[in-house]
Amino acid sequence: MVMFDTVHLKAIDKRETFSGCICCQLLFSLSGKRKLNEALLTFAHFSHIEHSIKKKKQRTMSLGQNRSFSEEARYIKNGPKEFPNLKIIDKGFVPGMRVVGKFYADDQLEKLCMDELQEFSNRNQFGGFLPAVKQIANVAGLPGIVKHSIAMPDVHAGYGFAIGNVAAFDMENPESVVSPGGVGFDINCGVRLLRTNLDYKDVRDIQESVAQALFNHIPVGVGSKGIIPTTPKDLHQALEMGIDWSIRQGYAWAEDKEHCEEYGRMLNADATKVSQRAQKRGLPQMGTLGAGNHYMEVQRVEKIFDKSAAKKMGIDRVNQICVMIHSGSRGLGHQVATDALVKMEKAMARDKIHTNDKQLACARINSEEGKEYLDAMAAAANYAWVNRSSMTFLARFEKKIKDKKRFLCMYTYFLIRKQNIILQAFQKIFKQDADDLDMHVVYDVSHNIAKVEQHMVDGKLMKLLVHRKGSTRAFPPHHPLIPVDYQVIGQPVLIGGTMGTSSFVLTGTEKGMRDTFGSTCHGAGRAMSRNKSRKTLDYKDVLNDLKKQGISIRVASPKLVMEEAPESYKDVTSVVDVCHTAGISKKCIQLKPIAVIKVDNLFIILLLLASSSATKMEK
Amino acid sequence: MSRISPFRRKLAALKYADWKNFDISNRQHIQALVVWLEQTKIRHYSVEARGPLKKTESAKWDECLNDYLEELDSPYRLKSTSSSTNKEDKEQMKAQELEWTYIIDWMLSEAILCEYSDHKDELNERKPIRRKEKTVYELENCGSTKEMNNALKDLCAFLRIPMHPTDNAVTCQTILTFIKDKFNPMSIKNYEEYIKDKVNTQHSKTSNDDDHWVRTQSYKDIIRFYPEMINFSTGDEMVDAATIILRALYIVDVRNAQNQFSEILNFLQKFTSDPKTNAEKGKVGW
Repeated sequence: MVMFDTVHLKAIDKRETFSGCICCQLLFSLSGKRKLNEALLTFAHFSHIEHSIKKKKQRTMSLGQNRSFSEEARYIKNGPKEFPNLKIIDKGFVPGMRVVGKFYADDQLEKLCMDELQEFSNRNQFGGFLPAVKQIANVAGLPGIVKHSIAMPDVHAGYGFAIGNVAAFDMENPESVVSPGGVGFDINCGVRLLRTNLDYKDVRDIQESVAQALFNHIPVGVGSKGIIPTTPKDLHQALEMGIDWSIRQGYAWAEDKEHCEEYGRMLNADATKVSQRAQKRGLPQMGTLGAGNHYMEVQRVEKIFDKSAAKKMGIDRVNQICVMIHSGSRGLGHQVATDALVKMEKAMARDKIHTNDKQLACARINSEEGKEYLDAMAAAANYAWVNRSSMTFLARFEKKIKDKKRFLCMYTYFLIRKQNIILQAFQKIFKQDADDLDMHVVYDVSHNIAKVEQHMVDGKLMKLLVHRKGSTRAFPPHHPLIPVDYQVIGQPVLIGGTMGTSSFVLTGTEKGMRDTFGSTCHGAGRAMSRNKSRKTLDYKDVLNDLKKQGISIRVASPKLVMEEAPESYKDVTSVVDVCHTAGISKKCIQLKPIAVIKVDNLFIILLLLASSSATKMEK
Repeated sequence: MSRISPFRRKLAALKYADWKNFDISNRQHIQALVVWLEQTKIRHYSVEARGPLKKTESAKWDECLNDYLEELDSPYRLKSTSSSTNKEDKEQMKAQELEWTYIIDWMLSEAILCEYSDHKDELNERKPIRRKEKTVYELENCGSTKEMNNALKDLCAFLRIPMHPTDNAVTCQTILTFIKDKFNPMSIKNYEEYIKDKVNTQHSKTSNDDDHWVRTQSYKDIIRFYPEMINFSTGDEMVDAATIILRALYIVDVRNAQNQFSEILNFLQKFTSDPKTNAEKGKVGW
């Protein structure tokens, strides 16, 4: 089969030589300045294209990748019967797999993965991004990997590692590697859930007016700079101390610390390993939400699956109001990852580490680059905790506004220049006195991080470096590393939904600890890329659909509406259900958004569930 | 928070009689202290030579003090002359107070040094004072008459706690601990709140209510009512029940420790906390 690339086809259409093509140039020089014969020209292009395809084929054959989709699909099998929803990727799917890959998916989610693979095969394994299943298999080929390369039901293609991939590397093995691609660019991106003692009825009547007031006052455009004044010295300390810095400075409550993963502080953090450029990016962004899929949501409890577990978390009734913050380490984390990738490429050549994918840049854990990255990553992780704590502080709005519903003032946390006007707007709406809202942190999880943990592997206790990219730690009950309050129920896992869809709180299980290094899914996971969303979806349709569900949008960028539309994501409920059936975590609470704030580079989206749907439900 | 006098600890250590009320801005207090320090601790002058320093009413007292400080090799001197009467000039007062702070602090350190060298051996042998041990009730001789046994049995049945088969002392101790734990004002208050909650949520009663402890009679019940507390089985139900109890005790211990940490952090926050926001800094758009 001969494929034309578009540039050549265009050149043929125009009957011109294509200066970038060596064959054409050769022919052109041979035939002088005379206009080339059409046939000759076409022949030249053909031969060139065939030549390049031959070359590509040779390369792919050497990698063993010259397979049709049906051949590829044979490598993906269902897991044993006692493991529902488990799919196995056999060795040989990509060259050099040291362990088998596995992923959790029901039929529908599996179909999404297989469609992706088919598309890739149809492209002759050419161009575009690698499908997630290929990425899982590539990770299985990294040196030092233990047991499996595991993917969660929300898996989708990412940089190097698929998002939703968990991989553990043996710390005792000198060959073992650490890869920034396995952590992701948004280091310690995570979710924090705050509970309140408010009820939905307290907020329902005013939510429209709040939205309107905000709509009138919030300038369109994001606050890219925080309102918490930070000096370089503060930043340095925050990078080393994590949430302890926030507590010391009074931005966080002492009780917050125990309800954070790792107690909100990575002890190996070294701020000197964070480049000046990264620090410069992080300095003004402290306490800001960030762009993309980050958001802050006011939610109400829709369903409680596990009553006693929910009670332990301080959530005891349906319609209780919670606040969810999804954010990460902003530009600082991104820069740390970028810096490390550059250094690791050199380290790979030096240590002769071979990977299937160039994006899987990595370095030996004990090498200088590896250690440096782990220290810098820990510092960036600390920054993310400080960031989330700062936003919690702004959401709590302690002593700043005397208002029962002052938590709604968190809308103002994105650093609005004309904050005073907004505060006045709030004061007009709420005239009640201040009241304790009991805004405690339920838990704070991170879903982009690599951590040293101890796990039982084949009956042996091993020290592992567990990479979790787009996957959340979910430790079982009685694990020493989870807070004392959750010892009986297991670690709470916070799963953020998408625009207008539910979010979930799960708890960790023993089975998850055995099968997935104590990990579970992290959210809905994209079903199509941002580009594809923009191309295939019409924002008017999306808006209409949302309207039908009772969600009205106040301010929106068409671009972001399409990118973040529910259609662009996998169904969070089925993702969570797969994890629940597979037994790697347990459903506990379902939350439904009342209002969502999303920030893109240029726009703020404010979503609002029309009170009508809720009123109906209550009736 | 009120300002703590920086000298309180040193004064207390030197056993100065009026250490609680010492005020650096009060000239009489300072003079009395200086004289006391020289007389009892530093003892630089002979008894006769102390005369001028003792004359606190004299106008030359300041000069006298400066001479004294010079002889002691102190780096500090009283620069401003006695102008404490001039109360209008607040700044001058402040400067003078600071001057006195340095001098008194230095003198106290010197006095502590003298005190230490005087009682060096004695002090070096001192060990931290042990806290008073909690009163141990004499339970050994509580006897094992039939009457006593029956009474204890009734009490145990009433309190729903097991009775030691042979040693009544152990039973008594257990009862004591139990009563202390469950019938202190805090527990009673908590229980009242719990009952109130219970009444409020009566309609939503489910199978996993927390009333089990009342009905727990044997180790089998423990396993039945708290399956979430154990994720394995040793094959021996008794051991399993013990595991559950140990785990529960462990959780209580860690919770208490965690509370103490939080309390300490909260206390320290009083000193370090200084959250700031500056809305001007927030930048919207590009």
